Amino acid sequence: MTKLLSAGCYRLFKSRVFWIMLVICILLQVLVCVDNFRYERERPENTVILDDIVFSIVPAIGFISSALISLLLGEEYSDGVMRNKLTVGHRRSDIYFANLIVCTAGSFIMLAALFLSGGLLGFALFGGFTYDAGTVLWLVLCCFLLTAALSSIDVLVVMCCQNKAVAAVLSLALVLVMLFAGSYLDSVLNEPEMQYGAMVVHEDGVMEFVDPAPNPHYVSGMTRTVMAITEDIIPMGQAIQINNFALERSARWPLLSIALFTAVSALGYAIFKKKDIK
Amino acid sequence: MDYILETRSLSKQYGHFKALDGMDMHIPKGAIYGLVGKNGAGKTTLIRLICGLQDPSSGSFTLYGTENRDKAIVRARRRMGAVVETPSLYPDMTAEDNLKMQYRVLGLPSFEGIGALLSLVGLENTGRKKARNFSLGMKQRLGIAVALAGDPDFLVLDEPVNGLDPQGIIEIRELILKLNRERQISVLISSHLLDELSRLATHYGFIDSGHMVREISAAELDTVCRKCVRLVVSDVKPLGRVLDSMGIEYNILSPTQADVFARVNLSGLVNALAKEDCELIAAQERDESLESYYVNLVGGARHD
Repeated sequence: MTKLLSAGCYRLFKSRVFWIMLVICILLQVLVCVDNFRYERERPENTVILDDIVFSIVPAIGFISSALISLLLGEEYSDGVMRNKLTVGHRRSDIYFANLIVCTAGSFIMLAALFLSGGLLGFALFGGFTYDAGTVLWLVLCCFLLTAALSSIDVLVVMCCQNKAVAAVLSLALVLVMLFAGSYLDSVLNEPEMQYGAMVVHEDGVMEFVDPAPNPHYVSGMTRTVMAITEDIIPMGQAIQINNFALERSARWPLLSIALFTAVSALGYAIFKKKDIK
Repeated sequence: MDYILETRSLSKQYGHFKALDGMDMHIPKGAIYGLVGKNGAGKTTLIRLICGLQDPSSGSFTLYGTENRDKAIVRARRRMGAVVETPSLYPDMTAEDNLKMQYRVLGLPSFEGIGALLSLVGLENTGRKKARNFSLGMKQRLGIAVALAGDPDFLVLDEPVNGLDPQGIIEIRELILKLNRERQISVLISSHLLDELSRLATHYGFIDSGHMVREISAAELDTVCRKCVRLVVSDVKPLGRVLDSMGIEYNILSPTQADVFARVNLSGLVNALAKEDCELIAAQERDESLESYYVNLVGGARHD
């Protein structure tokens, strides 16, 4: 597999797609910093913190990773270069996992570019992190692991779909589905248990605050547990929570990301192993 | 005989469609083996199985004596190179970079030899030109160079001259002959261009509807396809004596039939046979080309 890793890395760094996406990541963070800096200048009462700058962009990694992997790996099928590897005797397991490692590394580089460009420029404009170093590092670790999970999903889609265009669309669609699912679950789980501040206006015009009442939209019990686990398993669900700094369940995120990465990779290889390559 | 590749009852089914049906094939070492068949006969399917792109539904094959189900097949495949259907190239890389990629895939320690390989296929002057801007002939040649990167002794080419202009066809043909003669590389070429194959192949396999109809060497095919006059006589022994005295080449087919490979003066022959108490019953001119041999073999209407 080392030969394939060497070839894959050579391919990655030779790829125009890779360098264009890297520049896009840096420009994206520069834009975020500049926009927030301008916002802070216009509204001095609103303080922009570095934590927001660095971690608010995390959901974008889903789209960046999907685009990079579907364009990079899609060529393996569309240009037939996968045949060169199989013909000279490389095992399917080596091909699949070498591609997985290279693509995950590429996504990591994109994420690192987002963090570094946002961190350096953001530090210069807005100062240091508000959260302690331990929390920041923990979040960075969570981001890298959710990126790995996203990459494994993208690799599964592209390696099992021989049509480059279909694979690209499917990858992006999956990211969108995960984003919407994560958003929906997040909004449901963030419903308060009790409704406060309801007011009644009597006939004589007197206003009276009513007692707090249970929120009918609040989800509890096993349903809540299942929804919470689902939101934490979905990489984009984690990304949304990181974006919102909702870190109550962050302790289990790395484990869930690793579990998802492992399960998806195993499934992807099982499908690819039996695939008739044309 | 030493075979590089042998298939035994090899079959491949896609759903209800049998692309290969009990295929038996034998490719001798050092041969240029022409796999002949019409579109949809199963040529590309066979090549895909040999190259490991797909698994057979049943049957087996051996490559350098290693069976396909054996784990050692991956080592055996290291000795082959292939261009399956279209050349497998990275379009945004130059010819040299494409070869460097393949060298890395093969784990070769250095890029020494890339220059010589590019010269061999006539692409030494492509410079920084990307593969996407190559002509079809150049892509085919680069595809062959990529297949040769691992210094294989067995090359599999699936319709290598499809879509090429006459000059391109000649170049590919010359390259294949050079590889076979100078490097002793065995070659499997699949094609439906009989005229082109007849200039190249040392052995033929005629495939139809997923199974091998006949395998024949070029020498045997020449014998079958030579222009001749088929004579039916009452006894071939006097005929043989008469033809020997005339210095004419012939081949005895049966006690009453012989093929004569020369223009014969029938009147003279009849008189000479009469002296030997032998009757000439029938004479028929035969002029079989590879095309007509193929058509007769697999069926199909003649369009004379």
